[in-house]
Amino acid sequence: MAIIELLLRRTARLLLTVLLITTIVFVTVRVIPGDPALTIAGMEATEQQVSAIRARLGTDQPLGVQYVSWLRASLRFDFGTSYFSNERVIDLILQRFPLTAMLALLSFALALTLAIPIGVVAAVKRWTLWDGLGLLFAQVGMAIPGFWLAIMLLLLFSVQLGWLPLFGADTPLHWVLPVIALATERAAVLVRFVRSSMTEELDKEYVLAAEAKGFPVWRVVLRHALRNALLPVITVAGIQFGYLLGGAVIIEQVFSLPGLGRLFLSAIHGRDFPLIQGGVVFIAVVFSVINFLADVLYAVINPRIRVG
Amino acid sequence: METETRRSAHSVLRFENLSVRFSGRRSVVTVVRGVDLVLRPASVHALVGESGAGKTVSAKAVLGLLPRSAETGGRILYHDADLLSLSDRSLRAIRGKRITMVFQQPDKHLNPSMRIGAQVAEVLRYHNGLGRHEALLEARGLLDMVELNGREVLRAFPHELSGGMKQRVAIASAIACRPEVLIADEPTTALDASIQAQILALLDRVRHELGTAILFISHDLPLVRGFADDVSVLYAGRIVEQAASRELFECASHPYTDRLIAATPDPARRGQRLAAIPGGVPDPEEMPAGCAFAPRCPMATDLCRRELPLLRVPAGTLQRLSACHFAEDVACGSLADG
Repeated sequence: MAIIELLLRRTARLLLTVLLITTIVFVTVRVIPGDPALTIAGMEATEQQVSAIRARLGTDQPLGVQYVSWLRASLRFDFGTSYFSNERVIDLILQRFPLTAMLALLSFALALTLAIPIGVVAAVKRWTLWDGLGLLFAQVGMAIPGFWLAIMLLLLFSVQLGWLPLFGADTPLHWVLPVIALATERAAVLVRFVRSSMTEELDKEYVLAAEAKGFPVWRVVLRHALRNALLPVITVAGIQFGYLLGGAVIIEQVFSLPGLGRLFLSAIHGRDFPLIQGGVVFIAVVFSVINFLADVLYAVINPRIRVG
Repeated sequence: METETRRSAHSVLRFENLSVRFSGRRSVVTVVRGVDLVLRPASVHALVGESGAGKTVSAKAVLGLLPRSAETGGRILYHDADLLSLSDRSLRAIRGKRITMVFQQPDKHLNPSMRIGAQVAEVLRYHNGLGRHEALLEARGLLDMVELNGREVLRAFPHELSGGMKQRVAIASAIACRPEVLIADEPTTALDASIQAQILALLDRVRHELGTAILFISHDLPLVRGFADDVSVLYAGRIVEQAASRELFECASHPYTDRLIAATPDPARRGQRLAAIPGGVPDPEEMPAGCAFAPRCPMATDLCRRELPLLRVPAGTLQRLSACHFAEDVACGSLADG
């Protein structure tokens, strides 16, 4: 019963979020100075040519009309065609999305595989050298911007040592540096979170009760505390995944990976409104869906929500 | 040698001059100061005192559950093994199996994300090497034994149960391996009065049916009347009176015990004010030189404030110990009215 109610609530929230995003995107793009018709027509175009282009783009219509047709189209993921390539925006996005998704997923997996063990060990060995190393990793990882790390990694491993390829995404080796660059900061944030969540769990009395039952430490930690400690991590991890998508845009630029990031950057340079709008809405929807899934996963795993 | 054997035959658990202190950054606080106590097989020994007296710390010391900042002294003998000097590994083989514990707050001592059945079965799987299925089957039997509906509760999560039910679950896992000793740390304090009686009755059954000796820790002296065989009254880390329950409730031989007995509602004296004990337990960092109870004691003299009274057998008695210079003068109930 409760799970259905929760699903309905979260779905409503998801839809509302998407509506808000589409509205904000619409307004923002209209506020940015610059007329796309002028950009497309070029310097020598006549007034007539420019208004013809405006009519084709629909930018001569009143804002209200534009908004309604924009919403309608968004519902069908129809963001129109790119001003420049004349391809459908959604097709352009879907062509590039797999690479970005792959980059984000691999980085997410790496971030979690690093963060959970480091965070758990730091919490169990609180105030020891191990804990200190874990916290140092978290501190340094958070302080280093991803793009800077990306450039340093490139310089060291690709340029200086020549161990790894420089640009592109042709072989698995091409993925190593981008994934590390993207995952590090996320891992650092998650380490702190796992550590504090685990610390809190370890101080709870059911952990003492488990020790009183004679179980060894690893069993108490892994079988009893870990599951409870990871529950709140699910929500945070969902949000971190959003940061990953954002970070991927920049990392793609550094490593010349033909993903969404490069597509969107060139769209912004060219005032390619449909592509910008479509891109932002697409990313926002992906992000919302992931958080929706994280919430549902949390509810499924947490017995207190599932039943009560 | 002979006395040694006889001694262990009469006790499953024995505190010998147990002391516990916590070293903080700046100071060392002694919480338990030389406690001697014998838990006889299949008996109930109540360890009673106000909060801060050192009851829970003593209980946790038995199972090695004290935080690292704790330093222990003396011995805690389980048969002939000193639990305080056992290796982690040997201690783990005893705790949860031969000596188990039930805690005060049932809703905090169960894993919230694990089904009850799995939690009870885990003890059996770990200590007795049972398979998943056998362990669950036995867990169900145990839950039935503590008067729960084993079939239903097996699949429940802790939050679906009431406090009393959770405490029964805790008892079920505590008796899963048929322990020799069960340490019950205020197991009824968090529960309603009617449930309290049921849990006590259940523990009483456990003692009689399984022959498990119970170290029962409580702040509530009258509660243990009729349940405990022996009573140790703890005050500021020291035992101030120790006696068979029957004798103790008949007549106290320490003013503190006397006051504890008097500080309880008595149907015969309805309408009268309850005799509260003025003041509080002294700060362990500023322990008085003499008797720790002297500042609150109506009988206290200069001698009490100067000299620490040792546990001794008061004149005219045989089976009891009192740490009062004037144990012989504590007339039953006389202080309560004063």
